Amino acid sequence: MARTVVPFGPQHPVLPEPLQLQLVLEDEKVVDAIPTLGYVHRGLEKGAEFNDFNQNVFLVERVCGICSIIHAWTYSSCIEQLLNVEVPPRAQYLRVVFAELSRMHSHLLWLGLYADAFGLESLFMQFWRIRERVLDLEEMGSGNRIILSNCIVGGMRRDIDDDLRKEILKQLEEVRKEYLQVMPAILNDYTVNHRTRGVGVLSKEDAYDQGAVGPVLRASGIASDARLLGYGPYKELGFEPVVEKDGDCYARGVVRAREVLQSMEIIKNALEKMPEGEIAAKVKATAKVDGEAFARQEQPRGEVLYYVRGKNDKILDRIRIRTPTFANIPPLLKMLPGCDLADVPVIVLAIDPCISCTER
Amino acid sequence: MKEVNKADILSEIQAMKDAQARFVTMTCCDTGDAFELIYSFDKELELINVRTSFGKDESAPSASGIYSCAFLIENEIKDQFGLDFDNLAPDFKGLLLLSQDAPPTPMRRNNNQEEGGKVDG
Repeated sequence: MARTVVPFGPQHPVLPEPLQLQLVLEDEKVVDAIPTLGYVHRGLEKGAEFNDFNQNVFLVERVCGICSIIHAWTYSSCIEQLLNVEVPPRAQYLRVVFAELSRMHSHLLWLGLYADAFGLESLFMQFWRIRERVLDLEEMGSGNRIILSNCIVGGMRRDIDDDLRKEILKQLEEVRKEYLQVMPAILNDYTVNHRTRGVGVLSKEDAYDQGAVGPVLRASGIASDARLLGYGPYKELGFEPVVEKDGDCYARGVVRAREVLQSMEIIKNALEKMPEGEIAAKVKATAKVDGEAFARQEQPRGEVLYYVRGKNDKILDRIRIRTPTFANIPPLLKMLPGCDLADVPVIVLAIDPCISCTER
Repeated sequence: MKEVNKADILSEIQAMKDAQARFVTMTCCDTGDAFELIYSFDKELELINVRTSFGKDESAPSASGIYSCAFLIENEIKDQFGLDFDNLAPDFKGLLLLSQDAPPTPMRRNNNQEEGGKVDG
């Protein structure tokens, strides 16, 4: 049968950022997909070679449009390893609170886009309305909505006092009630079920073999989550990864929908168990960084890896950032062959692609 | 970090695959006269790193024949550093992230390029 190549993107209603897939079709079936990247490549890894290690915190926060705090935390933990900085326990709890707020608003953003992809515009607005409340909490705690600039090498900039703690707990309870009203609407919707169950299936073996991370990996039945690595106080907070077995687009949605509730619980526990004390260890601005360090953490889209190499100077020799969407592109290319052209937007959206992360 | 000879890198990667380790990524560092490649794998949440190095006029064997997902990072390294990989498939020919009119190999250090910045104070 004759083959046709159809470009998907770089501008497409389901893509908030530019990514192109060249879809090789036989009739309406996809037989191959070739990615075209580079629309938002900014050379941030090169840029990091021109800043000192403190300035880079603000650079790495801009790698992604919405997961700023976890980039800052992962990078900072590399520098803290190399400078032997002991981060105060309270700062670690504060980092968890903001990281999980970040996960909540990222997943709520995705749930809204997911609803919009099916034409459920009202539901899209409901998810984003709830997300606004989470962003308000971030603003109350850090002064910023998205790029928080709250995490620094050695700890955090701003503390959460008792009044704010009570306010966050109160608002979270309201967010929870509102979320539980709209979450079943998308998970139980006939169209959503029909369009996502059994679509874009990634088997457990393929997910592992293709290096999938985050909700894509966990939706294929693998209980892998970087929060199990022991960074931060996740162990004390009783963290268990959310896992689904079907490996399809629906399962990926369920993992994210459940993780929103899980993040709320983690934040509540962290706020209740947060120890008193300092929020940052002192780090000399003129400290010289030497040696090399790796750090991995769990972003909303999956595991992020940082590699930092010093050269006995405050300017670093190399920063390498492996973002979760970069790892999820090969699994996406595995999911697409065999699917209908009409299912491509849903499958692409189901990995929650973040292209600015991918290209840096 | 495990250091291996460049001739043994493919057998090391194959051993990781046989041990059912997940391919995490590769990191390339330009040390001035060579490229260091660090291969990272995850085995039950443990990060396993394997390091080898190649001369600037050499090419590296592609891991994409063992871990097919390695093609993306190998193409990025080819873009950014100009390190060629043998039998890389698919090969974007240095144009994965860069456009045709962009300056080639921006991360490669040589006499014509600035090697990182200096900050006053």
